[in-house]
Amino acid sequence: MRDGKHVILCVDDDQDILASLRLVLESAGYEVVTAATADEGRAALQAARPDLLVVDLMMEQVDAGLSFVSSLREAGVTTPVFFLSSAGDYLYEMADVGRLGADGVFQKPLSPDLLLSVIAGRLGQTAAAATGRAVTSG
Amino acid sequence: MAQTADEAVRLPFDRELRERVGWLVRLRWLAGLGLVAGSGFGLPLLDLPVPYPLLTVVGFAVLGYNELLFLFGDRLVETLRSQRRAVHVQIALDWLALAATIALTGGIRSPFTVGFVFHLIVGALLLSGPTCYLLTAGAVALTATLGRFTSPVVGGGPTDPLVAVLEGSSASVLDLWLALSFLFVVTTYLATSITTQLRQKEVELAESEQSLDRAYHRMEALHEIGQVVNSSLDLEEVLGLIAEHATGLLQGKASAIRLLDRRGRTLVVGGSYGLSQHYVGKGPVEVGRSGVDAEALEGKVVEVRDVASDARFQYPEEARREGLCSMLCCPMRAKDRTLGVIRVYTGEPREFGDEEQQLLRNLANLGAVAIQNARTYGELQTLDSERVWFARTTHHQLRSPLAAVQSALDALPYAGLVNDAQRDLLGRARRRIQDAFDLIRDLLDLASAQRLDDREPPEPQRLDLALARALAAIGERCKAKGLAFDLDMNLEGWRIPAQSADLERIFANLLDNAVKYTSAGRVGLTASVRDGWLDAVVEDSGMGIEPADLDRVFDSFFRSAAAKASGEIGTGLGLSIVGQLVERLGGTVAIDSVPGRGTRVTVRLPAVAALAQPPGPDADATQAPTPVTQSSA
Repeated sequence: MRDGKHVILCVDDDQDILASLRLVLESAGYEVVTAATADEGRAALQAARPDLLVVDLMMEQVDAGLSFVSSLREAGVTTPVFFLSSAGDYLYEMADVGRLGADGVFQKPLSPDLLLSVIAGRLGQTAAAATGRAVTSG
Repeated sequence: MAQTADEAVRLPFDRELRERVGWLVRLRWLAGLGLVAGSGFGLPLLDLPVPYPLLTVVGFAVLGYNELLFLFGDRLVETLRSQRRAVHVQIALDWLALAATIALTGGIRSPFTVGFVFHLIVGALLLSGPTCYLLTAGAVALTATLGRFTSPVVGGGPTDPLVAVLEGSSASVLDLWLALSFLFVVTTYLATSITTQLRQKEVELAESEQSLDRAYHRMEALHEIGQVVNSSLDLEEVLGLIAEHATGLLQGKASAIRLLDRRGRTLVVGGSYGLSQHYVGKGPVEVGRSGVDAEALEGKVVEVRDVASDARFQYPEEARREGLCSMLCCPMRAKDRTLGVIRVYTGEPREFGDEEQQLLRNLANLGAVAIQNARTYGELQTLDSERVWFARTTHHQLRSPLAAVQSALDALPYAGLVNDAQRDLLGRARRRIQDAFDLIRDLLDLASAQRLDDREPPEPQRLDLALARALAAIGERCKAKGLAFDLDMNLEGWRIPAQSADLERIFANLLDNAVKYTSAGRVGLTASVRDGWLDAVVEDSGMGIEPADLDRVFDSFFRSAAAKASGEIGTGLGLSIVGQLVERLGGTVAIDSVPGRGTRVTVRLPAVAALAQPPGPDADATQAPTPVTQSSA
């Protein structure tokens, strides 16, 4: 959270997709941080401490998105993650995305309404869990 | 027991001997019964001075030992460990009975002396020529001895009961004996000559049977290899089979097939039979150092009497340790190119005949075809996987910019208010982009449907799950258009050996067409399995297809005029993909339609019964990963 807004980190090597994501997410009141590569994504994760990640499955290297997320999970990062995928991506057919702890896969092209409702739902869950913890610990 | 050809001419075959012994036993029943009946009822009526009771006893004795031979003949053969010795025992018993009968009925003058003729003929049928002449000498001696008992010319003795009856005959006992002896010798000579000729024919027959048998086995082996060459692309399997048959047909010890490398300098093992791992792995054969192979590669069939001492052989020491001796080596040629050599080894010194050389040439030719096939297929596979990779990469590269454009168009309203004219233009742009997405997807599906057959048949997929995936969005779409959707599916426990995506694509495409081209009424899917076949029918009450167009609906990019006029977006690839996938899975698809009334597509695919409920992969496939969106666009 930053200034009362949820921070969402979007990682995709397609600047046009990032621009669309930014437009849609910011219109719903989220703070958007973008990264074009896995390395930039790692740096942004440290700096911005996002509440949720949206990561493209296929970036400059075919499995860059997958290996980026699996390295985060190995490092103990539990931030919710959604993948972006093109229908017919064979990586999407082959990889067991669920086992990486991803929360879901958005197919490109993106449906803004679906994107916003699913993200709002997921962040709502996190918020409820956090409140629950706060209540029990307090 | 195997007999050599010479032995076979002199002696009957064991099998034949057994049959004739059976015949002899049957004849003996008649002889015994005749003797008992004759001495008991017939002859006494003639009132001859013969001890009939004793003759009856001989008759019963014959019946008795015949019964024993009938019951225990096989055991006698086992005990004596020879069919022939058992025959000797039978003949000895018969001779004793005959001698007794003759002695009791007048000695040399007895009419039963001609019985020897019959016994000599039987002997010629059952025994070798020399044994028959020994028997003849025995018969001559026996009649002389019997004469002693009856004739004063040869010597004195007890008076025979028949002498009185026969007195007055002009032939003296000596003349009679000489005449009988002559008769015996002539009979034996004729009978043995005839049986020798018969046996000669028999041997020739057996030999041609053997050669026919060999020819049949060769044909059979060539046929089997031919079939494998045509049906299998597993080169190792085909060459192994050829090596095995080459060894068997040429009655060798082992065989090896060696393939020439691309540079034509070394020969590496492509298949072998009967050789140790150690020998096979001894190293490549260098054409420059192996004179035998160098000659064979020039197109000659090379024969080596002893590989261990032939200077043309590269590994004589290893071959000696392997126990290899003679060798026949033949080039494997296809389309004027020598691809390798086939060698057949024996364990003992041997010369190979023309027939064997020709046989090995035939095997070598078949092997060359197999090598050619496998190489061509390998190249095809490489090309095919490159094509699939290209299609997939192109698919991704084409989709990415379109997805970015559509995402941007969809995001546009979030940047501020959009007026009606702009909204209309955005809608048109989206539809055209969707059009392009469909085309890209169908092109990839088409490329995938046209790929080469999988070398390993795919794991059978649960039919109910595959169809459920194809049905995912259909209910919603029908609802949106106000169509009824009837589903009658009974597929539990059945599977189809296919890629899951292929099955899903077949039914997704058919259902998509049904919903797309039906504006009112219903869409239905009926699917069940009968007699090992999935029968699935997708039907609708839509616009239908003109009879003239029915033949063309499975052509790529074909869209009927009516379909185009309907304003529905389509690539003209959907049914083409269905046709190719169904054919690939060994099924059939048929379409019938009445314009204005509806269309009915029937798909039949071979199904297999599931052995057990799958615990793993299918269940996983339904759970993860979970796509958030359902639209394919």
